Amino acid sequence: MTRASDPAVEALIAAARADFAGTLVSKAVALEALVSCGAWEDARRAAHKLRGSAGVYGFAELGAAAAELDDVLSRVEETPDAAQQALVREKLRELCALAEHASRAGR
Amino acid sequence: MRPRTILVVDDDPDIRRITALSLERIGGFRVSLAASAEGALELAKRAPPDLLLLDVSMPGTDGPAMLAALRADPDTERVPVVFLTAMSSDDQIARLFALGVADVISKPFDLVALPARIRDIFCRAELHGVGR
Repeated sequence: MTRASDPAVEALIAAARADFAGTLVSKAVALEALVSCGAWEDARRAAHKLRGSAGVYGFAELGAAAAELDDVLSRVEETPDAAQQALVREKLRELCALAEHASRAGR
Repeated sequence: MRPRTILVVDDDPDIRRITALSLERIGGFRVSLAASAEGALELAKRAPPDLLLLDVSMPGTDGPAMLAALRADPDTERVPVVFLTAMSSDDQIARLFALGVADVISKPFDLVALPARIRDIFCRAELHGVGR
């Protein structure tokens, strides 16, 4: 994430980042709820959103985890077998841990 | 010279907020925001922007479908469109370029580089005599 040269703009970005960080745990919880009820398409859409936004706000690792989950959920939509679902749960656990960490670090 | 106007269309409020911040405060552009293609089409028809930054994956009318609607309307057919996408494969990006957009920008994007990239699109359009 390149820093803006204007400190006022940098402060606005920091505030937006903190706000975003404050929503990460609830985003992860919402994802868990969608996965637990097998709402694969909605879960994939939520993971896809996080894949796009997390990196923009400077949470690259979380964005990468969301990208992995997005990809696995795309496959589950096509082939919802036990192995794929286990992989979803594994990727989701990783994402939740990173969301928790980013939430603490970003505030 | 008046600031260029950019209409940002994305269903994700987090992306709308940070993109507006980048384009307005770092780039000096004038930005309007829409959360859906339907709302954006109305806005673009009423006051065509200098450029439209359009998310590819949206519920309802997605980015490619909105692009087709823009191109079918004489009021908006010439508005340059840049796709924003979290897709990352070369194949997916190539397919988006083939739809005839000015650029395809991958998420995550850099907040300082984004306005520079948009400025470059305007510069190229002026060089080729197609600036609005």
